[in-house]
Amino acid sequence: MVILLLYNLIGVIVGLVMGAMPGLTVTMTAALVVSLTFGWHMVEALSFIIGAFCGGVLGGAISAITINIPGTAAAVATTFDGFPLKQKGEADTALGFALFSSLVGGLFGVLFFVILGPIIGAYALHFGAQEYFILTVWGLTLVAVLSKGNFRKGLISAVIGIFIGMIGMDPITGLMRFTMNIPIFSGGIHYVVAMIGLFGMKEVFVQLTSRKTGFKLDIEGYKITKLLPRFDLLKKLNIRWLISAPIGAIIGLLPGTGGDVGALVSYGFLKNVIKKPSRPFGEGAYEGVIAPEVANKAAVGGALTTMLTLGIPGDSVTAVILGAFYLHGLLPGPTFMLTEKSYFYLITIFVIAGMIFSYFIGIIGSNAMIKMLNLPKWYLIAFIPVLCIVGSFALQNKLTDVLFMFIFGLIGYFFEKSGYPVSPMILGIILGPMVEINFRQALIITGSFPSLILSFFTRPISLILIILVIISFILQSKMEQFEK
Amino acid sequence: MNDNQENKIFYRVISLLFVALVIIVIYFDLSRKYFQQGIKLFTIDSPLVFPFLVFFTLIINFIFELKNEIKKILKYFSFLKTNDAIQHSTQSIIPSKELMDIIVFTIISLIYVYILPIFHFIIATSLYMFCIMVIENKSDRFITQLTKSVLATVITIPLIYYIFYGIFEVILP
Repeated sequence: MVILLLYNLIGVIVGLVMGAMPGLTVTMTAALVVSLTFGWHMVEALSFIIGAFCGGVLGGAISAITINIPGTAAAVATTFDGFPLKQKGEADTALGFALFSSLVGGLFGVLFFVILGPIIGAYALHFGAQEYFILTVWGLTLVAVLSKGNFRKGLISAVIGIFIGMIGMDPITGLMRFTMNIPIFSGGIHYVVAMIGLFGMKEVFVQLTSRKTGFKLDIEGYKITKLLPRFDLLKKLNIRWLISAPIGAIIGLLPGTGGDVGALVSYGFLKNVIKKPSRPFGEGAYEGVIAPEVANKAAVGGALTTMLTLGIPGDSVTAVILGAFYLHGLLPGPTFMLTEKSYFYLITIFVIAGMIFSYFIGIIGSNAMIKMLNLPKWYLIAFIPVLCIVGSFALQNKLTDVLFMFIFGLIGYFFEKSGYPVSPMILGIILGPMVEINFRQALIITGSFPSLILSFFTRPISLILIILVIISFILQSKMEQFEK
Repeated sequence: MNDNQENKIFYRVISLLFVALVIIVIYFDLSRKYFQQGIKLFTIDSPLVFPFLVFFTLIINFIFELKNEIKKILKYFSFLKTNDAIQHSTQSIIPSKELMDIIVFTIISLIYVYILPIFHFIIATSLYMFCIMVIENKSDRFITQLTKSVLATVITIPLIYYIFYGIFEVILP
């Protein structure tokens, strides 16, 4: 267990460093750390990946407060009051609160996950091919959120992802599809290669053509003792900030709404509920730092619940983590709680450890992390491709994977520049094969297209799932409006 | 209309061409299987039923997107004809600086992939990293550029090799 926790700790450090650096997203971090773990034992890999996930989410808060640039989307709301606090000379207090509230929110999320996971898992055992199909389609509705206002482009990106997932052998009949008689396509394109290209290599191309040279820091460092929680200040604050935890966890539970939405909703909610904050919101209110950080970490627990028990990723990061779980032979989904129950509790331990390690490493290593913000662009542009190359080669020891990775990097770059989001493509590559298999199995079971469509509405669980898909789709649009 | 919007037209055209290429590939593969191999399209156990639905969804969305893009491009060219846009030219549609950076980077990367099996990881990656750093470091003088690049390569590559191969036992090219 000690060795496993060590892997978790290393993952946290890697995640914190990458999450703290603007431009290096948590999704990219997850895609790159997955590549490190190909040859590892499953449990060690899970510990490391979960550690990096927990660290990456927290890392975003450091650059949000220090340079007003959120390292991750989940840290956007933290900048609203975090940076004004820094300008008032209270950067240590702001970061201290952010780290502490992250721990509180993260542990609440784990509690939520432990209670709700087995309940959802028990219901999920009754699912048939139709229900599995609706679940995978539910996962694909995430496209609406990931499209960021351009649904049609997001849909095109997702459909291309499904097409890429279909290249190679048909999973049911063994027929070769879309290989164009080129041997290198016969084995298909591995989704991890696509992930590294679309998130890692694409970012290199973005940085390559960006005019920004780096970030100027006007802070020398943090005093570690001042990063410890200020309980004297915390006692004076309105206790209502605690409501951010359930808000974040519930929002994280919904497919398509992750920590970023959770943080913004809880910030907006507290702004309306707390009439007398420590300072006006937006001008350095402590509650304004605490609320989003509690919510975005609580959302991790919610997102993991949906991902493990239903196999639906909550956002692009959990989509990558879902891919990593598949890679190591772990199959999140309705049967997970029946077949892999021990892993459910092991993952719980890793998340708790990841949250605790993130907190302490965040305190001890905050100064080292802000030094990393000073790394020159020319170094990063040369360093990240090397990680991407090693990652894509290590998967199957094939140079063609390296070539595919570069091609995906270029596709990702051109797509992003022209307004096509790349996250739906990954969603399509990962969920596409599952959508296809479940659709075709359901079609064979029911015997015809009309019977299949009818069965979606005559089977009770299937009908409930359809209603939930519609509700979540409406909620996603409402939250997107709120986010704007 | 600013440079950014002009550049976007170029990127949009490239992306649309890529989507069109995907449509052509799906179309030829499906039609070859349907006409030459005689595989039915709409039977319940057909391996083509799902790819056909994917193809259908893609082509419908592509048509709408193409229509939308053509409108935008026409609007841009009508803007070019006005006096206000005299300083703009069709040449500015192509972001030559960005494109050059990408082409140079891609060529170096392709050479790297080619020489990787010949020189193996340490030598090939050191050369690759060094070249990228020298090209990308535009803020320093040439001698400083070279010194920094050599130092960064000498420190980074053994470190990566040790972490990946030595500790994590990842097989390197």
